[in-house]
Amino acid sequence: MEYFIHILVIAGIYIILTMSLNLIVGYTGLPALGHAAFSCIGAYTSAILALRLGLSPWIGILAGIFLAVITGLISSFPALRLKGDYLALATLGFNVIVYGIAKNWVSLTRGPMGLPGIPSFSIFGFSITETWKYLILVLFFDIISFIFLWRITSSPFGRLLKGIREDEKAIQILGVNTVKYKVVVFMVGAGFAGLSGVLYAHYITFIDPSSFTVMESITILLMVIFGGMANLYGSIIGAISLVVLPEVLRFLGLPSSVAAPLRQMIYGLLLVILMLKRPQGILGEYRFR
Amino acid sequence: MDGEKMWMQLTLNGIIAGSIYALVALGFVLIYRTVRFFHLAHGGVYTAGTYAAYSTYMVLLKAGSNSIVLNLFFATIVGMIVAGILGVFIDRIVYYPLRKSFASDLIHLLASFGVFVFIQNFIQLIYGAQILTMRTWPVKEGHHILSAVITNVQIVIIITSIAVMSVLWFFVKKTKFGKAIRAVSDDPVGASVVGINPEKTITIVFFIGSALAGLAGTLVSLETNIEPSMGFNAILKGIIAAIIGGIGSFPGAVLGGFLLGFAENFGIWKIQAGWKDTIAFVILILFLLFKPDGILGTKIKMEKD
Amino acid sequence: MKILEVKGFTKEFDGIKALKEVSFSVENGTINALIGPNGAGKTTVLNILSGFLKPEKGEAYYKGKKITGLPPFKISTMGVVRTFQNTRLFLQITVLENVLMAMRYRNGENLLDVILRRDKVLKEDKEKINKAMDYLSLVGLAEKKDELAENLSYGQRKLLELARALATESELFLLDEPLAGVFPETRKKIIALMKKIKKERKTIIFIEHIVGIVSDISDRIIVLRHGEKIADGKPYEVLKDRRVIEAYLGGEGDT
Repeated sequence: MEYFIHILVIAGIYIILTMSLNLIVGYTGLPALGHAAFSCIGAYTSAILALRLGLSPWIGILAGIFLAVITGLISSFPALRLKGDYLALATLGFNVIVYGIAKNWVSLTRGPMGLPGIPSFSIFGFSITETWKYLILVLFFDIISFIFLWRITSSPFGRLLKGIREDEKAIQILGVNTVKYKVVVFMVGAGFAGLSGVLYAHYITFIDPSSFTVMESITILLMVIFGGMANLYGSIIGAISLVVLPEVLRFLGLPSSVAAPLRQMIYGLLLVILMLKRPQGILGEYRFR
Repeated sequence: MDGEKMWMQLTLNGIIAGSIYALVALGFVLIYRTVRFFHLAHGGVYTAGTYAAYSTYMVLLKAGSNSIVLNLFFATIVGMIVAGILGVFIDRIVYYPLRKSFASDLIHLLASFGVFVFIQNFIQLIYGAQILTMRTWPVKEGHHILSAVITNVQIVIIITSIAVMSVLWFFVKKTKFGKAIRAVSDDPVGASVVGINPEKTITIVFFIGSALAGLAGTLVSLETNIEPSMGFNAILKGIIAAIIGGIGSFPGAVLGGFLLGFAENFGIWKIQAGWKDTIAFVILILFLLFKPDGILGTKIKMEKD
Repeated sequence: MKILEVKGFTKEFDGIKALKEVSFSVENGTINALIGPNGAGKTTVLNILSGFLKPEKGEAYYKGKKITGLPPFKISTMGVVRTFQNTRLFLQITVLENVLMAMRYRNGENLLDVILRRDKVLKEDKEKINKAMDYLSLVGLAEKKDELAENLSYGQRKLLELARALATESELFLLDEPLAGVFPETRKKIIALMKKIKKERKTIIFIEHIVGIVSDISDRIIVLRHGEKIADGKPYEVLKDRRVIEAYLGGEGDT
């Protein structure tokens, strides 16, 4: 039971990641393949502030989101000049760079050894250490994130994002400064990814660069695609499905040396099948061609 | 190590690394020029070819064949063929249907990533995640050339790479097939009008390009260890090399490969080795933003609007 | 008043001169036709005017302000809108949403308002939807408001693009072949709309091949050939011009 709740917590964290990535990729049509970089920034910021300066994780959330947003701002610049697979490559490269910084700036991040002993959240002096309590915390942030992102996507603002996705030239003709919207979308998406990074760090209480690789980004993207492009409910489904699914393998009693690569093989296969048969995913609202 | 020796050694190391990167980049660009998207699964083919070579080598050794050179030779050939076939297989099963339905480059790229993840983990499933090595021969001291040290193995790597690249250059520039490849990559419709079968050409290109990747991986494993994730780094470096040199051109791929090899080796002289990859990617992004055609490249991405 | 002044547009593509020192000016509240055989450079002129290309030489002034070199969205906010030869609609969204895209919101496009003052945003959206429906009614597409744009016929798409252009409330309309390839009934509608635009003292520059229609509704005709302006004046003058006749009947382009 405890384990089941743990899975839900993880799923809850991924929900924020998928919804925020969907904003960038699904609604605005920008192939951002390096989303894990932003949660890396959030996680490390909060962890370092907590471990080095003893700051509360609540401050860590603010700081983590803030730095993630700045990172999002920086990483939006390629999106202003590149398109399609070139942009995908650039965002992927950005992910590797952030990962590289986390891995090599040992004096700050302890590199591959990671940061253990990250304190958990506490509300009014009560520490949130039990898994079910953390689940409530995560659900709280899930709901806030959903409302935030839903309000954006179901507004004229969101409509404009779709316009940018459908035909950037045409929407410029209508007086829309696409540069501004692309930058904003990256900043918002990155901010939420940073939030999920913070939640992750204070839950697992240990982070290392290996949680924020390109593979991780692709997994998040897979969840977005699977659940449905430009559909927030789809992202929720995608996150839950692809977090729960590998656990089924565990139940089959396979040793981890088999389960781990097998899980990735399923992800890879799923991605290929989706691209071949239904790129827009389960609940996807538009034909991602 | 005094200054001059250091420079020579770094240059040599740069050439060695560069020739590997050039091989990977060349195969990648060959494919890219023909199908116009980033075939990331090239990294998976690289790994698969290497493991095939490894298995062949080990089997031969066990079967009693004692000539290391001969074993390696056969292993390399097998590795190249396995890689080549795998590449063709991927194209027919995954890319061909996407081509038929006019899927965007991005979809090809994502599918390619899925294939890559699948292959890498399939290999891990079969061989395990541990590090393997093909170097069953005694470590001999290297030769001294111009105040640098080079081992026999390293000589083999350089000579093989350059020889293969020369053969490929001849093939592309002078033979009928080579002309067909260039025709299809410049204008697939026009090429089919003059009787060239684009699909057949694409198949050949995937075979050759993938075989190059298999060769590169096998050569690398003469010097370093083998593990399932080796292809990831290799393909990313290959892409960086291709973009730096100019993704539309074969000489560009080779140039980019050597430049990257030099940059890495001279770069880590002052900076820690771990930052190597990070620097390579910073260079990649700078090129993508400011000089996407690379140093030698010609604009091959047509105006997409 | 001269709403637009084009001075010396020169544009080269890969060594081929698409435009050579093209200059003309346009009076407010007029319909101006830009005609010429294929490859004359007409669409290039529109591309430069709408900000998608920069000329090698030459400038354009809209209401006295220089627009060459400005990004497309900026030119658009100054009151210029263009349509495309093969219509560039947002195909996977509805007809109504296509028109709404053209309308700039005070609150609805402001991130803070969207998140924190949703009530204001919804109210503004209602207003805009009403207005959009007016434009749709104008072009006769009101019943199709929830239809995906990709399901419209070619003629309906052209009307939708025009409705969208009208919704921008621009003063200068750059229309790239608004009448090409549509049935006579739709053609009549579009011409009526163009006359209505002129009635509202707005200006049109449109590219067209069909010379007969051009002379009916245009106040002025500008003729391009091989990137050069060869005639510029009232319809009956221009169409009598020997060079113009030669350009069309001399084995190139269509009439």
